[in-house]
Amino acid sequence: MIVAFDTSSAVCSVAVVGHAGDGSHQVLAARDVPSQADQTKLLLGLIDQALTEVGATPEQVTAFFVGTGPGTFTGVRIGVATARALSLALDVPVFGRSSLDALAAAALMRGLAPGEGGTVAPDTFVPVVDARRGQVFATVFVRAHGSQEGQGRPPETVVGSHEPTLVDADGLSWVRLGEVFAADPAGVAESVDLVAGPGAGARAVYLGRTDLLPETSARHEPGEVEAGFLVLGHAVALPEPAAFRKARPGDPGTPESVRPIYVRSPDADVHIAKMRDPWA
Amino acid sequence: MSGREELILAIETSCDDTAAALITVSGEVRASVSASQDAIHERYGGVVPEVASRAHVERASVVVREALLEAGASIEDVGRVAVTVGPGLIGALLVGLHTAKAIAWARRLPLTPVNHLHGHLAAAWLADPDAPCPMVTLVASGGHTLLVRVSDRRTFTLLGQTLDDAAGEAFDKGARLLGLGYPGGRELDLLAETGDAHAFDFPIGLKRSGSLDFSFSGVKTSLFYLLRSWTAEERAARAADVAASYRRAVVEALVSKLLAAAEAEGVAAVAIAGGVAANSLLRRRVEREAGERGLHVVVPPLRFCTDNAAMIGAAALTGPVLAYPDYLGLEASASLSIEVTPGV
Repeated sequence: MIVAFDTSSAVCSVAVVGHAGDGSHQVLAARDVPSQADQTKLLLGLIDQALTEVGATPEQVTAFFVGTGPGTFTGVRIGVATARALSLALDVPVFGRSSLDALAAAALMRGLAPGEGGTVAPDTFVPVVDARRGQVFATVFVRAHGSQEGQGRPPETVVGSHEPTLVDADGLSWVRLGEVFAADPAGVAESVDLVAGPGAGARAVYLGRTDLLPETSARHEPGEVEAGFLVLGHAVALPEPAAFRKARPGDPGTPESVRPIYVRSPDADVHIAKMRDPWA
Repeated sequence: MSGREELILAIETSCDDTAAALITVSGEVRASVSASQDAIHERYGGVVPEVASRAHVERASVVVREALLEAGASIEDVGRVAVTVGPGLIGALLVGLHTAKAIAWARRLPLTPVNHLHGHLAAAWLADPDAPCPMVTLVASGGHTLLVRVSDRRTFTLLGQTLDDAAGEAFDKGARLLGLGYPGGRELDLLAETGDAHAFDFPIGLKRSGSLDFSFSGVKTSLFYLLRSWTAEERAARAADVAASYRRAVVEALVSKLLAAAEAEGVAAVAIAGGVAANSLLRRRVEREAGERGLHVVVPPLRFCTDNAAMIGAAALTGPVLAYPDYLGLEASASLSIEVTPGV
């Protein structure tokens, strides 16, 4: 049983995900609560409720998944600090996934992938979250055309290796290109062109906080980050407990392997100017 | 756990030190680990909140692991979790709070939220388990300058506080004006040891007011105007004398008001705590002058004066014990009065 959560956005999202022997996954309980800035009050209570709903205790959790952002700095840290501590306290593996990956996985798993008419899967996905200061954080997923012969069987993916591959129900896969970036909403399509080729921005399907983007002809699928999709849509192979116990801090699955995705550097420049020269 | 005394795991992340400690319910410190961020903040010349929060999240699980290792204990030996919930930098506090809440929840342990300032007060009985109450304690750090009546180990009354800068802030700003390294308070203290403390007369804030409050903006401004009137060469040549005189003025305010408070309250003991309690002149003068008045003096070792988690564990010994699940919604508070006991 996996517990997944994401506090990087304006929604505090928690899910309990069951995993069967055949590698399939199913959300057993979920909580998605709007939370402007009170993830502090909400997060553990929601985890507690969701676990209680399925009649489980913390000792029965086999892994934790956490959304590592990008999003609000504080929200991302609340999630990561909680996830690391849970892993440490229960000696079970913990994995961080970009909240943008969760948005993309949600679109694929819900069958939003097929284009107009439901037959053609789009080449390009662009999940988008609020970056404040008039910007959005986004990343680009493109179809991996070469991998279709493996239809129906997700490629082997090692959890925690930041493998950016997403797989839909038909076994089609998408690969994340480049890093997460921050951009002005009007410039997102242009950035997508830079990553995925000319015209890709106009053909892409935009996911998540698409309300922040300008009205264009591009297809928008609005939504919030849902924790269950940190697990769903990814091929999950949890490490054997014996192997995990031998892991060293920083190895995949250890608390220290989970790190926030900030994208932006801290606003320290103001401080440097002020502190460095008191005579200025 | 059989045959072993139950341990309290204490976590402190209110400013720029990521700290974890293990303390027994009878007050014995089994481990106290602190990851200082001095090297990180040195390049900024001060603590940048976002930088501090980022460092805490990288280090929190590491210091907990190391504390367990140092104590030769495992997570199963922990019977309670204690954590600083304020006052402090809110983003920094949240990292420790979530680490503590998650560990407590995962193991169904009770949790004690701790006022950071109560931790500083508890440093007195960590250092001196027989420290008699009532006492008056001076808490002086980069963020606080307070005089507190400690009636017993859970009853605290604010007697006086700074009206502007904290004492540690006065030292750090003075050090920056003198072009000293980081952290400034320590550098200024070292330089002052080599100078003439009577070379210059800096104003002593609220000296004759009769109040137990402090003010350090005057001494800082006065230093600014003095140094501004000099060339860089003059500043360098007289830096040690300036540092010594400046330190004398700040410490004079702290010591005279601590002793006045002790007399007004009629207590038989005084203590100092907080990062500024590492100042060598303050330590010497309190030990000597309070001692001369026949007061019991507690000057804790440096490791319990600067921010640490052992003191948070010590404060938790007399704090409220919240059972699962009562602490799941617990929040942090950037500003928390010393008279507030969180969780009560």
